[in-house]
Amino acid sequence: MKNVFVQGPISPTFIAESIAKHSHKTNIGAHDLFLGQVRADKHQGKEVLEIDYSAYEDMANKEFHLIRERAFEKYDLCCMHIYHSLGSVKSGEISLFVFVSSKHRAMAFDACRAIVEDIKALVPIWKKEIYKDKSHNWVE
Amino acid sequence: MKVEVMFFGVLTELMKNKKCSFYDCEDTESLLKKLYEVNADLRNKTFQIAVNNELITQNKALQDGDKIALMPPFAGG
Repeated sequence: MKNVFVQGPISPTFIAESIAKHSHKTNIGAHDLFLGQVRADKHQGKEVLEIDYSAYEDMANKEFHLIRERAFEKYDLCCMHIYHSLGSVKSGEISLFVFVSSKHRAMAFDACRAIVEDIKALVPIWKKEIYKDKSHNWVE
Repeated sequence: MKVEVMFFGVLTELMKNKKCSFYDCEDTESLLKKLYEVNADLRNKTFQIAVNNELITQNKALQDGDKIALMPPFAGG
């Protein structure tokens, strides 16, 4: 089963290279990308410095696989890639990268949104916000 | 009969551990009873239970070697 997790943030260079890798797939007419970025939210007056992501990796990779299977069944997709961070991701950095490619835009838009919503609802991943004073809070 | 229990998210701090072993729990109800004895505050927490990577919604019989995960609400993305 494919491992969706990457240690630390997902770099803009990695995202650019992922796009470039699709230039030879000339049946694709539409890419849709979702990028989740860590916000510098305030919690009880303290600003988020970074988020520490953790997961039940075995089950999470299984859920990612099922999300992928369902999306391919429901939508006419050429390809799909999902990457999610584990460990520390600073505010302003990317923690989730969903990349969906299809012949036409409507499929790509619909599939990308459905996949992101499924990830939020079904995948066992947790966030620990770490503040500038090094205190923390689990996001629930 | 031994089962492995894994804690995630905020529960790792509450239980002061990421995993532990329990003996002679015939089902998830009896396991939960033992966990509440270890830390009564667990009763006040919201979590789902998975047995061998499958979410359960009602009491489930346990077998030797089962892996049980206690998972607070998910927060991916």
